[in-house]
Amino acid sequence: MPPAKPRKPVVKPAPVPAASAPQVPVVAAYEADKVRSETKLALARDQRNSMISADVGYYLDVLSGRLKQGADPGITVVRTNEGVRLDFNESLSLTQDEAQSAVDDCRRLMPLTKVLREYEQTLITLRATVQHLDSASRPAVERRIREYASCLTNAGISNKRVLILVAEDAATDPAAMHVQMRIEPVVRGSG
Amino acid sequence: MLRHEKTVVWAILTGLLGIAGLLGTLTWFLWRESVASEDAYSGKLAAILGDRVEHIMVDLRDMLVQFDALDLPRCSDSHLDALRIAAMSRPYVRSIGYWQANQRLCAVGFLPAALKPKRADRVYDSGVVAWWPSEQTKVAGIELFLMRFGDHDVAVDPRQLLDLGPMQDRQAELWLEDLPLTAAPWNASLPAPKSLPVGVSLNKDKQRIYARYSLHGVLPVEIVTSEPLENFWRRHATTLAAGAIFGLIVAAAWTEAIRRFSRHQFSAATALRRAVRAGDISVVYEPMVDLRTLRCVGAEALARWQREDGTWVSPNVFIPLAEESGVMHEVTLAVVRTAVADLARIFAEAGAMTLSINLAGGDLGDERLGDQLRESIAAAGLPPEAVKLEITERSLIDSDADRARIRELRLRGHQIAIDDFGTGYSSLAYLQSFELDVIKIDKAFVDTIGKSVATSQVIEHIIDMARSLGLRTAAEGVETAAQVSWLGDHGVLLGQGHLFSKPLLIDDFIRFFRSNRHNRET
Repeated sequence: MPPAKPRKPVVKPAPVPAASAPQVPVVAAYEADKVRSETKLALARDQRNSMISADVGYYLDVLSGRLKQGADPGITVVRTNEGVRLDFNESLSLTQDEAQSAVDDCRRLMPLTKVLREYEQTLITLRATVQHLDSASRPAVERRIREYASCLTNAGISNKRVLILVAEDAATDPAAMHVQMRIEPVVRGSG
Repeated sequence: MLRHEKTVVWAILTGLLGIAGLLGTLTWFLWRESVASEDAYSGKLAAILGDRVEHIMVDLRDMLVQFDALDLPRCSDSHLDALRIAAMSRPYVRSIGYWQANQRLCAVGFLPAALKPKRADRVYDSGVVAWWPSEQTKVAGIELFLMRFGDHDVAVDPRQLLDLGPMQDRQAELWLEDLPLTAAPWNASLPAPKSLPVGVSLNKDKQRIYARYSLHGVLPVEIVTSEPLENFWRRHATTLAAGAIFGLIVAAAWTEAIRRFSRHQFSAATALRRAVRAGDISVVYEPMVDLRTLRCVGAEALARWQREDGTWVSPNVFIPLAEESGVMHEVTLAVVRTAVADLARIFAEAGAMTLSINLAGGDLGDERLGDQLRESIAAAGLPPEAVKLEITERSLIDSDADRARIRELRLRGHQIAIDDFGTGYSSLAYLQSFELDVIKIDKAFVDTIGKSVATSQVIEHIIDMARSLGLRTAAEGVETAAQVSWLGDHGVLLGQGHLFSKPLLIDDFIRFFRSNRHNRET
């Protein structure tokens, strides 16, 4: 296995690109389940944003196929029972350095955003996981994850379908901050 | 168990084992040959079917990839034409559709409604999603194979993927990536590949033969075929028939070999050979009596053969048999060994005694005879003159070699006697050419003593002739006191016959000898 790429610690907040859509809300970990349920319930009210339960399996299988088709090799697409999970591994970072600009990240996400725009009957949760969060580091992380959310919304994905969750996880590599995208079906009549 | 019975059992067991072994080997060989042939046959079929399915799968994927990149307005006439052409050129395709997410927007083919199975069997990293034939892909009773890439999908009738041709009894099932894809006939129920060994195998309970082959090209393909066992036999009938004929020939040859061997084993000649080798030839002694004093002065050693079952074989039978089967020399040597050793037991007590040993025709020419005589006599501590060698008149050959041999034996100290004299046709001149010591008058002439028969005068001529040649005479087959008297009166020195004693075993002979001496001395 090749050695892990050394990462620099967070040194400065990333610049937020100009957002044309309203900001995506950052959800606190303790209320994440509740907010996700409420959001899906709200989306399910609109037939355009929701599917019948019989279609869920097919929808997610096809969606995971499409995401695999578009994802670059550094991104892992996993079909789970609940939906589809994308692990960005080293493709997206919560750090900001010269080599990785928000514009580049958005370009890297473009094939995926294109698919997600088409598969609109889903709720997308962008999840940032770091080992330790404090008042000093949290704003930078949130700012960075918001940039990624903006990539989605700027590409035409409704901000109502996107949530941001910043969480602490003691098991996370101290030098790494993981970004995941969890896509869940919005099922008509469920809440 | 007697040797004879052992031989019978051995021959039968060997015969049965041999035939069973031969037939077993032949059956195994035929089975291996047939299986190897079947292996090649089924392997070729599996390779053809597997290659075909793999090619179809790759072709379908490539087709969907091309549709995804197609630069045509979706669901336009030109787009639908492209889909239609692709479907028409692939007889196994039932439908090609264009989708947006989970909504089929347009399609060509025979699927009236969009098919949205609940769970895909495979989602490949390339983005290809596949659903294997199952209840969830069933349309109008046919379980379809579905493949989707991008926004296009294709439905395939898997029954069209396997074509076994005219092999109606044969069944086949094709597994792709460890999942059953198609079978022929469609309702065939075959075991999973993992439950079978690779290659050809036999299920005796179901009376079917199975073949499993794995192909690892672009996609892992496994094919299981099955057919009734009788098809297998029928296909290899020629080989089996040839094998059966060959087996019968070999079995017959083996049986004949066993028969010949048994016959050989059971023959008297073989038994005699075996008896000679085993030292089972025994010796009896017929006392020789001085006709003037009636004292026992020697004995003639006679070979006897007692078979395993206890029966004695007459010398009239086994001596000719020994000559015919080429073991006469061995018989003579055996008699020499035994008789000389036996003589040693009584020789010292007797003072002087002569042991007569019969030589058969040809013994004179056997180098071993002289050696054996020398060794035995030396071992027994006897003088050479104690051993007299008797040669039948008929076995004397008019050859310089025989003459030289007789001369050599005489020079060693042995006396030479002509046995059964009068039964041959030796002329006086002929006898003169050999250096001899004694003439033994055959019993046939002794029997005429005192009788008024045509040959009554012959014995007198024989005695006269011997006397004229300077030879001593001995009479065989003496049975009456009158014969003893007549023979003594005519100068015959020695006699033997039932009047004195029948041939005796050595212990009995020694007893007879002591008794005779005791009687004569008192």
